[in-house]
Amino acid sequence: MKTESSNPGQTQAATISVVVVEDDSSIRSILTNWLEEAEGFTCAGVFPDVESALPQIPKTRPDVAIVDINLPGLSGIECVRQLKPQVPATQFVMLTVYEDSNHIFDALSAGATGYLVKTTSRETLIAALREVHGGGSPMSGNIARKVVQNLQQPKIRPADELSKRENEVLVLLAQGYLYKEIAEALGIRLDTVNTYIRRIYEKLHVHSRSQAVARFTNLG
Amino acid sequence: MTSTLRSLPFWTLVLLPFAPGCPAATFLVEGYSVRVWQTDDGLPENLVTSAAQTKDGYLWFGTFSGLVRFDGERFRVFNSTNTPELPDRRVVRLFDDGKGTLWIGHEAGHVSRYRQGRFERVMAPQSAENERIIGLGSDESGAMWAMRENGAVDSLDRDLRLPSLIAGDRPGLMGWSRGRGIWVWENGRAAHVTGDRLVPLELPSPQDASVFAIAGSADDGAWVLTNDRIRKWKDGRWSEDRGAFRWPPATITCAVELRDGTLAVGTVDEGLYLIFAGDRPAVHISQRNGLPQNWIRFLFEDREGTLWAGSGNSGLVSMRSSPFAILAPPDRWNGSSVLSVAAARDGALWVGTDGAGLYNHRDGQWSHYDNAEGLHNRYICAVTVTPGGEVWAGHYWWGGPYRLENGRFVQPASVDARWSPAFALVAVPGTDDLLVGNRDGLLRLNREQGTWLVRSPGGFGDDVCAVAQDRDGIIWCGFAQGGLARIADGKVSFYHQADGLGSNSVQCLLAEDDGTLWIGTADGGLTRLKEGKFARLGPEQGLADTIICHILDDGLGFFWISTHHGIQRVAKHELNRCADGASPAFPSQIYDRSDGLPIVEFQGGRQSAACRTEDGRLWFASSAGLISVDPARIRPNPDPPPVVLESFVMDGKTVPVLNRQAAEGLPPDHERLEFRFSGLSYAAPNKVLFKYRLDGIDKTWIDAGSKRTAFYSRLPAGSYRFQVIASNNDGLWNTTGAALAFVIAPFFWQTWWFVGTCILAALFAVAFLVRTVTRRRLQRRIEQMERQHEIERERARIAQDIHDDVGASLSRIAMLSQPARRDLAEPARAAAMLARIYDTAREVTRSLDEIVWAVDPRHDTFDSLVDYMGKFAQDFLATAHLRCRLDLPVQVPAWPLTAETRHNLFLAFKETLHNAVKHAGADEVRISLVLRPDSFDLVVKDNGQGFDLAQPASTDPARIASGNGLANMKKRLASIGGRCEISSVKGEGTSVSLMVSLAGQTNADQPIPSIRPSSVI
Repeated sequence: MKTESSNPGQTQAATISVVVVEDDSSIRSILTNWLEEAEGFTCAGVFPDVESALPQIPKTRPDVAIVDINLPGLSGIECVRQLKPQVPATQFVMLTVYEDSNHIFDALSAGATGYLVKTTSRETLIAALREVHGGGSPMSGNIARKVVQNLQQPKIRPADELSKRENEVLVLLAQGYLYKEIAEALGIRLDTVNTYIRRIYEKLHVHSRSQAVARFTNLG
Repeated sequence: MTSTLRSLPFWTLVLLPFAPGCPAATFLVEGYSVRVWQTDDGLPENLVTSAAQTKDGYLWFGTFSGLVRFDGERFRVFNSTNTPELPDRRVVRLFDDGKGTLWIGHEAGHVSRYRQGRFERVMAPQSAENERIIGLGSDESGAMWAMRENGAVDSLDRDLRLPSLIAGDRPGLMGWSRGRGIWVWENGRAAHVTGDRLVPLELPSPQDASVFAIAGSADDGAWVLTNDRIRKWKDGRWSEDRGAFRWPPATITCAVELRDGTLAVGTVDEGLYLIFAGDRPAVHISQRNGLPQNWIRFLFEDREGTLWAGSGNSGLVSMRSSPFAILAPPDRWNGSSVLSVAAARDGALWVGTDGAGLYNHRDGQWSHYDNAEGLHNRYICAVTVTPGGEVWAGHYWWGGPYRLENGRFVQPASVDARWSPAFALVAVPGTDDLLVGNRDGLLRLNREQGTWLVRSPGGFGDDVCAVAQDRDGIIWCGFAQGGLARIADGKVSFYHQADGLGSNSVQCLLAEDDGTLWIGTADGGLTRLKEGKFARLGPEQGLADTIICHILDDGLGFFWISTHHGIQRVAKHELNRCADGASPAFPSQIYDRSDGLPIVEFQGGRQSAACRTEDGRLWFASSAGLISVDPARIRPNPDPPPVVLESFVMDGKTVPVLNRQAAEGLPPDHERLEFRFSGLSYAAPNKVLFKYRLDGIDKTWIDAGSKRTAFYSRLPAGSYRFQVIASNNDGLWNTTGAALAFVIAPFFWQTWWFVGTCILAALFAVAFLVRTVTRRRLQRRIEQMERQHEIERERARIAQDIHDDVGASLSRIAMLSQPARRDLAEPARAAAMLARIYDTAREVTRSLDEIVWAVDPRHDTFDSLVDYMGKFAQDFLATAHLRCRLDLPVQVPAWPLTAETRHNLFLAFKETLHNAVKHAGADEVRISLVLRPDSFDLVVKDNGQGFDLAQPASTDPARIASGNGLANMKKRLASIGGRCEISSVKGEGTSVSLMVSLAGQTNADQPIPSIRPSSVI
């Protein structure tokens, strides 16, 4: 899926620190070059696997982390699951060869905020990173459907329930509306849509975590 | 009562009177054994008028209660009740013509005949007067004649009557006889049937004018009984004269010349006379000596030489010459048994009795010795006559034996008064000595004294029963309990049962010239001692009894053994063969009551129980008197008996037999098959023995003894042959016998066609089963192979896709990555090439993504497909800048889909979107999914310009390629069991519905939950 960016021009004043977790050395070096070349980005670290990234990323505290899903040893999803609670401010973006919605959903549930296909063009990739750092929350229609399916189960804390507005946004997303169309349909600003979606993600992250915990504590 | 026949030779025997009315039994009289048959033997009545014997061997008798057929055991009656063809049940004459027909003459004058199993009437009486048939037979030429009581002789072949010689209105005495030709006599005048005439017999002397009887002879002559002389007339003169009439003037009823030339004459008042050729005196048998009545109604000689006669109203009589005879003094032994008998040189007999003293019979005279004659004891258990002529007798008191001196019995000085009763007295040949065996042992008595040779092993009471001496002077002594002793050269050796002797109770001994000793025992049969070896013989070898009373050698090569079951005659060489072990049994003749013997138990255990006189006759002592047999007169019956199968009965019903074969097959569910057969020998019918065998069941001949029936039950299906053979009374077998073949039908479930059908059915069933199993297996194989094929097709398709999409793109990238020097020199061109590489890479990735999705079996579910289609639609439409609206239910069931279904559905969906983007001219595409329990509808609706379905494709510019595309879509949907429906309204857009029914999918086992479409939170 392509990330839907709504604010291509918005950039932060400070540089965005990005770490890369990728096992393919060619892709690692290319990504590093792109980041170094891009304006406003620095490469804060490159790791060939999750095990080396796990101790470092909490120390580095980057703004954005690009994590390949398919990694040797622990998977990228597991990496996000373990790191996101430690560095909640870091936005995790998954890198994947194929757009397998199951894996993507798992990653998003684990704590990722978006995903990119490895065949994304350089410009699109940099723009997406900027957007994610700026608060954008890319979500495609079928991901939205999966969120709906997932969040249909009763929640542990009422605070984790989606608000009415968030629900509306999610439904419209599932129905294939673009962010712009949602903003028009609900009469809100594009940023607000992003915010809603971000919140949905957070609730999703919490939900999935608490689900895992509940499985352990409830014992069935 | 003394015999009045003084003029006759000395050895005429006094006849034993026989009380009339005794039960039918065989008795001896005048050298004949006579048997009487009456109604208790099966005759329908005791008045028997005539007899004949047919070629098959049966004897037929005529009675006033019908015609009777006799097989030796049973009399079968044919009367007007069971044989309506018989005109009159009073049969008076019978004649067998030797050509298979039995002619029957009846009382009222009818003539009928029996031929080939059927009776038929031949001739009715001509008038009402005296038509009774008195004679029936064929003349020399074979023409059949019947003589009537009125004297007429009728031809049975043609209508001819020879009138009576006397006037028709006078009653007269008529007679008929057939020798070779037919002779008649009427009122004293004799005539011969010659051609078509009655030719009177012209006798020379006027005193011959009154003929009393005629008996036709086997040659052309006839016995003409006239003028008080028994003479034969032949060739115009008297050829033989057998003397005067033996009978007082009486009516002769019949006269018959027997085969051996004897003339048998029957009378009304005086019984039967047999006039022999030669010197033999005539025999007269009447009521006085045993016949039930004197009136002899007929005489008939059967093929075996038995003479049959009708005796008044008292039954049927059969007579056969017998070698046995009974001798008795006028006082009939005063009621005592005969204990001992000895033969003197001059042919006299000394007979000791059990209480009546001693008798002597010489030259027909009897003398009696009793107390008065010096025998203090009347029980004479032993008597002997030495070669020197001394008569010694032993009685049942101490102090014997006694010697006859001058007409008195005295106790000689050499005899010790303390000696116990002597049972055995035997002279020592060549000396004057006497061997005396008494109750203490055996001693040798000479002029001076007696010397003990051996003492009884068992002490007093272990009597010396028998003494024998062989050529070498060895004395053998048999004891009542002590076994056998051998005395030679002063040495005594004993033999007992343990040594091989049949028993320790020896009753009789016979020493042969070759040194063989025969020992008869009281309970162990006969033992032979030869060359030091004992051989035992018993009933298993053919001995009549285990109790052997006496053994005599008849000098003609036979032993005569008296037992408690008759007298047995056996050839010496046969007995020796059997004792040698060369044969398992010996043939013999056993004479018992059926041969006329008055008793079958003989005296035994005493030396003098039997003896042999110089004339060769053997004499046996018994409680019924003194019985003699003349061995020279034994004539074994030379005729094997004809064997007939009389009836074949199944469960009580007679089975019809045709030509020795049962007429039809017998049913399999029978219970009992019974065969009745006969051996037609009448000499001693109870001695006729049978053996039978059923071919197919019996492996060997079954010995039936004298039984005349055989039973079988529940024979299995098949064809059988029953055979039976018989022997006559002297053991001569007819080995051909009679046979009968029959077939037992199988139960229907045994028949070949039933079994065959069952086998065929079974075979078919097996074949069918095999076929079904094989087919099912093959079907499964085919299904498997189809699935395999499907999988391979899918793999082939995927391989094709990979090859086409990916291969081409990657080769392009490879080439693009090697720009020419010229391209590298200009950064813009290099950048362009890199951009193309980038584009190709992205394209390949997208293709691969799709292939991976299609291949991965984890995505073979409906919900995965819907997910994928939704995502594809969003991306595709977004790239084309069309709005995308998805109306999909949140929960889509995970129905399993085949890869082919997924593939085809997705391609159809893609095509639909393509059309919507390219040709519809719309800005929004709405995709909705309608779920049903067993089907779904995927609807792609655009808000474009629509098109006219009716219009052909070529004319509408908006539908350049979509005509083919729509057809393809329809084909795709059809191939997965679904439908593709397109509706379009011009100006309002197009709606494409892809409808798939899941009944056509292979997902029937998946439970289908009820789904609410488009459910949202």
